[in-house]
Amino acid sequence: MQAVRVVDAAGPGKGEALEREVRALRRAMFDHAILSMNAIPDRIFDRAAREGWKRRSYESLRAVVRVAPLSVPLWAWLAREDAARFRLEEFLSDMDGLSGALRQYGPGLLGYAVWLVLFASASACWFAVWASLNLLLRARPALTADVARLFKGLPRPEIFASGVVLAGFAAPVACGVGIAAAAVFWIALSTAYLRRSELVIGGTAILLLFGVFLCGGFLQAIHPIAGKARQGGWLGGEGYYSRGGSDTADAGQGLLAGPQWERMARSARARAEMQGGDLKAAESLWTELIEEGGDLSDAYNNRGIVRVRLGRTEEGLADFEAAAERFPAGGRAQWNAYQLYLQEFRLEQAARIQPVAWAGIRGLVPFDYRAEEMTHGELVASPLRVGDVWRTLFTVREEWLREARGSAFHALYFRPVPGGWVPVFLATGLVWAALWKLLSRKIWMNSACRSCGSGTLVVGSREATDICNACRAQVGKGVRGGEERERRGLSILLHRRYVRACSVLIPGAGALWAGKEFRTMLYGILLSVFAGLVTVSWSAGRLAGGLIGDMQADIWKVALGAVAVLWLFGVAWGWRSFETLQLVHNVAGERL
Amino acid sequence: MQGKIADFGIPDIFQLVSSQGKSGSLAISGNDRVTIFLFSGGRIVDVQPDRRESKSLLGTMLRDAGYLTDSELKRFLSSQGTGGKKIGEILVEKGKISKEVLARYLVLQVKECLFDVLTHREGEYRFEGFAVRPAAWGGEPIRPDVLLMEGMQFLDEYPRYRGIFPSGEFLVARKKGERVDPYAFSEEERILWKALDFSEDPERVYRKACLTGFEGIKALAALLQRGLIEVSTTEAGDRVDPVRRLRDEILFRRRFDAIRMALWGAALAVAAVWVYRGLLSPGASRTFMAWVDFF
Repeated sequence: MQAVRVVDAAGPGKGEALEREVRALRRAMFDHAILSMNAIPDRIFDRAAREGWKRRSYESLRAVVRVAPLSVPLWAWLAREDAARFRLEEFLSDMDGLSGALRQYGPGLLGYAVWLVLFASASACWFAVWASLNLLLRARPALTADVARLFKGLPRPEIFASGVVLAGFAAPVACGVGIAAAAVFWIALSTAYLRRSELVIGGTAILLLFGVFLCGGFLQAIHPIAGKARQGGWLGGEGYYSRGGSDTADAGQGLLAGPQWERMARSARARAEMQGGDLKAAESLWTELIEEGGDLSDAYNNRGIVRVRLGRTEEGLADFEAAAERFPAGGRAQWNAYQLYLQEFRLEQAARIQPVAWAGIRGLVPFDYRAEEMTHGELVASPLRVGDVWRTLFTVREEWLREARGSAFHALYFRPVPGGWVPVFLATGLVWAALWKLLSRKIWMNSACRSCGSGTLVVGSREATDICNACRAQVGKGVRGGEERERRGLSILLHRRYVRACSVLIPGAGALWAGKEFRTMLYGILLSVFAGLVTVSWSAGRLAGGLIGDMQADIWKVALGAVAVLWLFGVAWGWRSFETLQLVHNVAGERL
Repeated sequence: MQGKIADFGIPDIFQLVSSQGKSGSLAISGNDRVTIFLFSGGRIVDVQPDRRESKSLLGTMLRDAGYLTDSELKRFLSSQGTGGKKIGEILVEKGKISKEVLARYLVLQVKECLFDVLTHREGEYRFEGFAVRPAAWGGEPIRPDVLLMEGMQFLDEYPRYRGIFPSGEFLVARKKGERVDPYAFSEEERILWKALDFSEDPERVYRKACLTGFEGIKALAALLQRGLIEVSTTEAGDRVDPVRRLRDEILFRRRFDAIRMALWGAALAVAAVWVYRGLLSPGASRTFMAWVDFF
């Protein structure tokens, strides 16, 4: 109820009333060993948005920092506002708060890691789509000419061949195949007609898709530790994961992999029980963790608080002393022990650790604890420490592969390939590409001149270049006049139109035709990064609401603008590169 | 010097002019046409076929060989009228053909005209002597005795080779899937084999290969005997004007390409919707919002 009062008290010009409610809430939070109520800033912001004072909500949100110090979105939003208002001092302070929240709030750090993984996955998917379409359109003329060889007994075989190639492109889309599966299929169709550096683009796309598959496994494995603060759980406190008492076996087991993950999940559960008031269950969970060994200072400290609240002060004090002994610079356990010494009138011991306790409690960024204000015997709980998890977070594990088979990414991008077959499918794509590149050196295949578009049957081992003899000789439309000249002129015209259209639809295509593969790949990566940023921010910007929704809406708009600019740049660059190629080979401009 | 062909045969007239090293013009009329050969020092330096015999005109030959379109030929012929230059000279100046190509086709023109006049049984000849200066853009003067040898052979063998093919107009084409070794061919066969890509009309194939009708049909007969080409007959009304056919084909390719691009554009638009569903739709958004739950 006090949290609701804080939200209601917020508003422009209500500084004192809000401060009063915040102080009351802080006391209530200490009573329940709650360190932060991350839902409060979002509720205030939602209310501000609803009532039309969103842009004047800065002061209110600044005031609730003391009751929501672990809210990463709050710190990030304040830092953004500080930067926009040129408040350097506050900005630096908020950045400290942000880094402190990320270090001390487990789900926050994991959310940051998950954001990175999702961002990388979205970017990789965009790159795969961009690369596969680009390579297919690059290979299309030669591919069509080769397919036409199959229909040479029919009149106008090029019509049938064009239909077959178009069907080959459209079939995955029509069948609703996942983006990754279709991209690999298109790359496999193109490989025989690509240059080595273009194959690098295709190979990179396939490898990135394997990374996306693994990321799906990573997300599947990490998701059970997601918080509940944004799901309306006011008493979720910091928002630690908790499913109640019936699923003890799930917490920290099964889906999560490795001792650090398991320990973190169970710590989160124990914190949730503490905040929820089930002290017996919390004590039991902390005791289990302590018996297992490892980094125990936080577990001792939290169990001490639980025991004190259960009325077993001596046992609690012993836990605080044990915690302080294991982590002398921690601050929390020293403070809690100091408080208990005072309550027990063990003043000598209290005086001995008072300086350490006061100094320690003040240095707990992002918490704004002031010893002189904490005069009601407040005990400070330990949040979920994440340092050791971060170290092992991005270590590739077998579990990722196992979990990836049933992940959301698999269903979204790799359907209809069964989960267990995705690595084989991707490896087959790579092997297929390598095989066709080797075969194209030995068998007659069509090659389209990059400059004029004329098709020729070549064997790769004899013909290393994909510029035709006429273009290399710079003869323009040809040394002969009449019909031959007319045909070559038409071929050049149609080829130029095709490449220009490709450049507009798939930016960078013209540069690929012009032989700038690595630069095109770098361009594709840059474009995909911004497109990935749009994907990750677009969804949150539209659906998340609150502070995250507000910030992400700004991000996706900026990212979309960057994509548009890059798209236009890619069109112009590809167009110009191809124009230059044609000029060099005398099939464009005045020299033609 | 003048007289009737019936009294004094054409080979004898050419030999006489050649052996005496005469310069001047030899006009031979027959079959309602007049063909004029120009001699310089007893060698043929140029020929002026009758305007009504368009097949032997240089511009027509080059058009049939694909060096010019019909419209270009008309344009150059009209400019020829204003400048007084010959068509070959204009084409070399405009860069449409090289001097070497012109020289080859001038020889071909002389051969065709000579072979044509050798078939005359009635008519008249008239030689007028005057100094002839060979044109700078022309080729080397031709010895008439060498051409006459070929001409005699043509008179003897042409009916036999022509009898192999259907009477009237016919079409020729390479047999599909035949594997050939061009080095086993004679030079004429090799040139003709290559030119078969150009057209199905034998006359145009000869022109493309720069062979006379006699040389061409002889090479065609050899390829037919090797089983490398197919011959089909065509009705008189079936023959399509090559210029019109080229125009039609260009139109077809333009339209086909436009339709193909439109279809690909539509397919890419559908693919864009499909990509949207995979990366930006509400369904995909739920996956990409997973990180929000952690905060």
